Amino acid sequence: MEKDGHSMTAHEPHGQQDTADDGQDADWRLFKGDGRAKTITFPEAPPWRRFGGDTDGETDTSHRNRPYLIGPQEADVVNAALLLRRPLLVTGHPGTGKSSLAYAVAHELSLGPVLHWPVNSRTTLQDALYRYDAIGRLRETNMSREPHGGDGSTPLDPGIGSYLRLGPLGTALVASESPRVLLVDELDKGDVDLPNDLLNVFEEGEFEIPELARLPEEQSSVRVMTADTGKWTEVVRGRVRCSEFPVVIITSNGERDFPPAFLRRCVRLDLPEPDENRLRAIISAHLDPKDGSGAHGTLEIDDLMRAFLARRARGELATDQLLNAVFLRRGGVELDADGLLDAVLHRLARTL
Amino acid sequence: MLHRVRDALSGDGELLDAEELRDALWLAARLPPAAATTLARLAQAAEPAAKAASPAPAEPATEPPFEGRDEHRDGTTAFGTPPTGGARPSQEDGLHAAPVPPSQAVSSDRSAMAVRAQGMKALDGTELRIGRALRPLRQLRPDPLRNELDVDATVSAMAETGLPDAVLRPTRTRWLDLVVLVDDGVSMLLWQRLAGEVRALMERCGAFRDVRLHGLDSRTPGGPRLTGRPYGGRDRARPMSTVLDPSGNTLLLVVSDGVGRAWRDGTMHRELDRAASTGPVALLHALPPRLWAGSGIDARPWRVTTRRRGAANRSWHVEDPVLPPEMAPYNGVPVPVLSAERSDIGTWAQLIGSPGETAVLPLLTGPDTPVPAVGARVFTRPAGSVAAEETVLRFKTSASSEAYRLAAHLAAVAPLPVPVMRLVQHALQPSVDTAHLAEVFLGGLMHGVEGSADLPHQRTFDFTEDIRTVLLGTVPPSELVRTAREVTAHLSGLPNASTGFPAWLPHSEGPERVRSGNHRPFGWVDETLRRRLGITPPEPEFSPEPLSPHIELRELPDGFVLDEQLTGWCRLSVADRRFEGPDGLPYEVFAEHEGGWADIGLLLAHDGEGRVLVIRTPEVHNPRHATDLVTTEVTALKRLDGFLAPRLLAWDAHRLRPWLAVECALDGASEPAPNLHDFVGHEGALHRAGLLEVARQLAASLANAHENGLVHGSLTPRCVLVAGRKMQITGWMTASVDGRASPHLDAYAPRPRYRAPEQETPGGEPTRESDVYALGAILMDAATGEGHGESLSEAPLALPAGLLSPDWTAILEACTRRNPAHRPSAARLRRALDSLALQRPGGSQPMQVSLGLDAGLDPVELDLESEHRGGQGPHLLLRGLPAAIRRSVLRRVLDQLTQQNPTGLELVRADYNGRSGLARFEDVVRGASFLNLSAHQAHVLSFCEKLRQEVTKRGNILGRSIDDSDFGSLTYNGADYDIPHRMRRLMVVVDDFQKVLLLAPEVVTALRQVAMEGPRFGIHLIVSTDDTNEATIARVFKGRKPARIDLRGQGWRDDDPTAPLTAEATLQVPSVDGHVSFPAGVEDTFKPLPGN
Repeated sequence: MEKDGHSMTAHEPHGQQDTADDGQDADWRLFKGDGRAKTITFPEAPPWRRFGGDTDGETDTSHRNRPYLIGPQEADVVNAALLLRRPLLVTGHPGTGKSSLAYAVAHELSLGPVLHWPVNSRTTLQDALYRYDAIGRLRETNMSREPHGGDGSTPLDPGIGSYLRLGPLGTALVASESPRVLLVDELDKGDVDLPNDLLNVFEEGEFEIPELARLPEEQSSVRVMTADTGKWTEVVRGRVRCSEFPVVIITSNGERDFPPAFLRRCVRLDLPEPDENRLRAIISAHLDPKDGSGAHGTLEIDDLMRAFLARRARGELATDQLLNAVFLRRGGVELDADGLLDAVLHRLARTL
Repeated sequence: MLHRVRDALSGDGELLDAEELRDALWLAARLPPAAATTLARLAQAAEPAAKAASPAPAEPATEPPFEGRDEHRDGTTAFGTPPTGGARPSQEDGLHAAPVPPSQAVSSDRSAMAVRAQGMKALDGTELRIGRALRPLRQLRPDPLRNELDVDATVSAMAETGLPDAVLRPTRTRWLDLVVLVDDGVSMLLWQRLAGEVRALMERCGAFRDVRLHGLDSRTPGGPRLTGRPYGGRDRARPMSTVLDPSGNTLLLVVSDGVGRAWRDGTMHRELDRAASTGPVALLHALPPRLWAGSGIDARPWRVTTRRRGAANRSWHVEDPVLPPEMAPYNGVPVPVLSAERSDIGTWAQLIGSPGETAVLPLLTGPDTPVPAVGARVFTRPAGSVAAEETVLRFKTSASSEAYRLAAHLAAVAPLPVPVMRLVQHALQPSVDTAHLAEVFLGGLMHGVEGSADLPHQRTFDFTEDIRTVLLGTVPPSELVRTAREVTAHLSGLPNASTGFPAWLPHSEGPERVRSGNHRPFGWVDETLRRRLGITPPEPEFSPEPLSPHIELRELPDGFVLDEQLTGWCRLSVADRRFEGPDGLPYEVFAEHEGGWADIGLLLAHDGEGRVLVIRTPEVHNPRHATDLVTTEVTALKRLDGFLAPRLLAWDAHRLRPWLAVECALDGASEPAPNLHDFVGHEGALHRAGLLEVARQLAASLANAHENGLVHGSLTPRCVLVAGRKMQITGWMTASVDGRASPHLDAYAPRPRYRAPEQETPGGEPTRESDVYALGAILMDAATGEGHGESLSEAPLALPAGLLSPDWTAILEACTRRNPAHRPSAARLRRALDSLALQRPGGSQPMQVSLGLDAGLDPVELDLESEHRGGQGPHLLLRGLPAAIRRSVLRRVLDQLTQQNPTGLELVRADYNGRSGLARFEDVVRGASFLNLSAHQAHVLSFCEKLRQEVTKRGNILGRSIDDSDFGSLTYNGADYDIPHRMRRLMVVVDDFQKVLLLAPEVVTALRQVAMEGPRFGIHLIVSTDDTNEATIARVFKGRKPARIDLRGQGWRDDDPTAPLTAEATLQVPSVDGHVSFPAGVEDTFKPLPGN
């Protein structure tokens, strides 16, 4: 512990008695509530809460590139969907890794960044296809009309393409040699008609942008922005058609039924609850360092595992709550299994 | 060929359509053959008996990818087909609904682990429809606080003026807020899922800016109060005025079932009235519409006209849909009562959302006279003094029979939370629906287990032990097993939705305990479900030992399951070619029975079209013997023609190896029926109703055989097959046909236990009496559960005292008498058993009257019991002149009836001119009187109304039942439980019948209805008339001919007016030809008639 210049010996024993002094405790109890300002170094974040910052995509150690474990039967269903080029509808309890599946597929098959489309009750299909910023274009055009700089050069017309941006679904339907991965998150939170509209798009694999279609022939090919940052693409005559149907992964919490026509066109995957062996594998995959050092025995997490399994059904807990508990335990939190679990494993179930 | 591929790829679900078939073939072509090895290993881990091994090599390869696909088709996966039969799942696999509290654990409990099983949704299937129905509410209104850019107006303004000018308009926001009040009393636990889904639906339909939820407490005495969260803690209760919005932009939706006290004493109606004046209000009734009349919320349709969008209910203009408003003014509470099952939600949403429209909606009716609230009495532990049988009987008389059956099923798996109740109810569909579940839930049989859980959908309910025992005695265990299988099949098909609830699976490392034994599991898990729930199976999944040289077995027909350990059938291997070739059988044999008679081969085969047959072929050396055996059985089966015996399908007796084929008796739809010996060994001794049913059928079968000249000769429990509810007697190969005994009897003699004593002596041939002896022995064994060991052959047949009722003991003892002449014949036995089934227990027959003595001085008696119960009634017609004699006979009949049965009778009397003398029965028994109808015409209509009411009332009490309950069986049950039942016999007496008939046309209809329903409802129609023609009688009695007493040959003594009148009366009953005559006169032993 730091001692400042004035040795206030009178205070320090008093201060020491207040805090439960323990070398490890000082590490994890960052906030003591005693009102004293100090500088600390934050311990390392859990791997699934690390963000990339400004780094590049390939060396990204962010939370999106975590290892993903899946059983062989489920992998076969994914393969069937890939072979059939049909959307994959993934259901399962919260925390079983529905959304992470898309990232795992994209990472493993090197299909580029995942196009993420979160759905809520205000979402419309149009927004996911493309957005047209009319006002921005009007503004730019007006400003470029006014002479500025006085150099008399004709100002450049930015062109309509700068104000047109394809959404995640639109970008997925852009023709490319390898299919993109599109993640439609929580489709059951959306509008009642959204699945039917989606069905149309999936069957046709193309859509039209009227703002571009009505342009005259010499402007038939326009460069527009896509949902990927900094990437542009060409749209000819306002029609976007895919050459490879994208890998569409739709997640649903199962709270609402979909129309049967929609269900028939999808391949359904139900992710099961991980059993004990799988949980251990998940924990070791996420938390053990990759070089194999630190043979953290499984003994220390046995009691956590038992308490978690006993509470899982009643309290409807999710897997990442167990990960949080294990991380805390390894970070030196000296609580017994039940106390730790009470702090971390709050019940997810709602009464209504 | 394509059809076979399509069937193979469809697996267990519906057939694939064109697109899916196209996809399947695409996949099948692309999967490499090496993919089959992993999958083949998984295929062995699944039960081999439950999956038909298909010869197509590409088929197994496509199975697992379709594990995902099949689920959406109809919920059955091709792989983990739940054991629908065949292997009876072990104890390890049962899912229990609740654990044992640690304080009550006993050592016999097994340790268990909690898993999250999937539950069912409440709005199953109707969710989409309701979501669409709410669309008219999705409207936008201008937001006064925010503005947005109106792009089109701006662009046109700029185009016109050339100036950059922005035009703003108010933002469109959602129009209404929603406040949902959920009644959170104990009885609403059944509908908690429904409330949650309604709330989710409202949130998701995008019509409401804000959805808030409150709990409504309708049971406190001071009026309804609101709490912050439904089912939450008891935080501070607020009055209902806190949710009223004076600006009228809030829609108030109340979800309740009307059981709480506030609904019955009118306080809730007052509050709703107040709410109706501020904004739109609606009430969603959780119970199905059938049960609304009994709850506190009832509704009547009215025509509603709105003038404004989203107007407060008070501003509606309400009038009767048919009558003009002057005649039927409306002064109730204008709150619509909606139901999730009907289409009212759409009508209501449209009404609210449109600026002015008219529709017919059910509106809340005011509270009736306050009935003691059901909800208060229910769910408390019943006091010990109330007998369990009385509670159950009270429930049975007031609820419908499907609810009773559901209660028995629930009792088998109790204690259980609400999601399991719903699963069991779903498994019993379509005869049982949620309304019946509501009846059971509110019926007072269950009570809540305190402290079982905090979450409302995990709270468990239980029955007391006595009630559970009574309920379990009414449903056979095989039906419970079948229901559990249905639940399992449904569970595996449910998606992993958010409707989970905890269930307990026995697991060696589990921290909690479940009770075994009497508390059954409600479903089972198989491999697939285990994986889905995340439980590691006790043994490793991929067994390390190498697969034994795997004998390929013959395939079973579709849907057929065979459990080799339990039933003794042994599947043949493909290499066994004994039954093929030119000398073989024309069917595909797939299994063989090891037991049975020596040298008689018993085979299971199928004919390629889905029919399963049992083939018997003797394998004796002497072909003549074989031919004899086969021809005997063929003759026997032909004569029996499938009546409680196997149905003969084909045979060939004149070959080297003769054989015969009968239809295989199936238990359920897919397994071979067990014999009685195995059945009793498995399920335990038969309970009384089962024993009676078995005995009746066996007696009927034997009687039929004896009538056709057949004597079985070697009847044992193994010869009796239990196919669901029907028995079959098999093993006729050594039957005696037309008195000639089979010479091969000695080779196949049964155990001495079932051999009559006279057969032990040399030269003893099987006779009919020896068959009856064998039947008696079989029944005794079935009742006691004995006869399973070898050592019992010397023990004398004896029934433990007190095991059965005295009638049964008498019957069985009579069958097993040593002297064959004293044994009853099979036909008499059947009659006795039938009467045991139908009749009330012994005692006097209160419906028998004595009419006099006939010529031979034998008493003439008439039994007015219904014909189908062995009597001669139920109706009686007295005809003829002089009227005085006739009325005297009528009075004599009524006197005897009322004296014999004073409390169990009700009397409705009617006559034409008051002279019938029926007035003297005024205070003798209960009833109504409609005398002197000619003077009081209005009473005629009341008379008809009374008759109609009685018929309806009795119809309601008896209900639609599955087992044809009628008045007699209700009496029987009542006597069974030693409680006088509440329904009395009704005698409708009409004197001067033909004149009364002419008073009003309704009389004919009412009397005819009484005549038709009489036997079933215990109503007896006694009419007396001077003369009438047959046509009138036929019109009233229609098919139910009454017993008749005709007076003829009256003797007028003109010269001696003081001599008593006599006449000759004849009694004729419809079931017997001929008549009995007896003299009748005016009795003077009765009190003089007043005023006559």
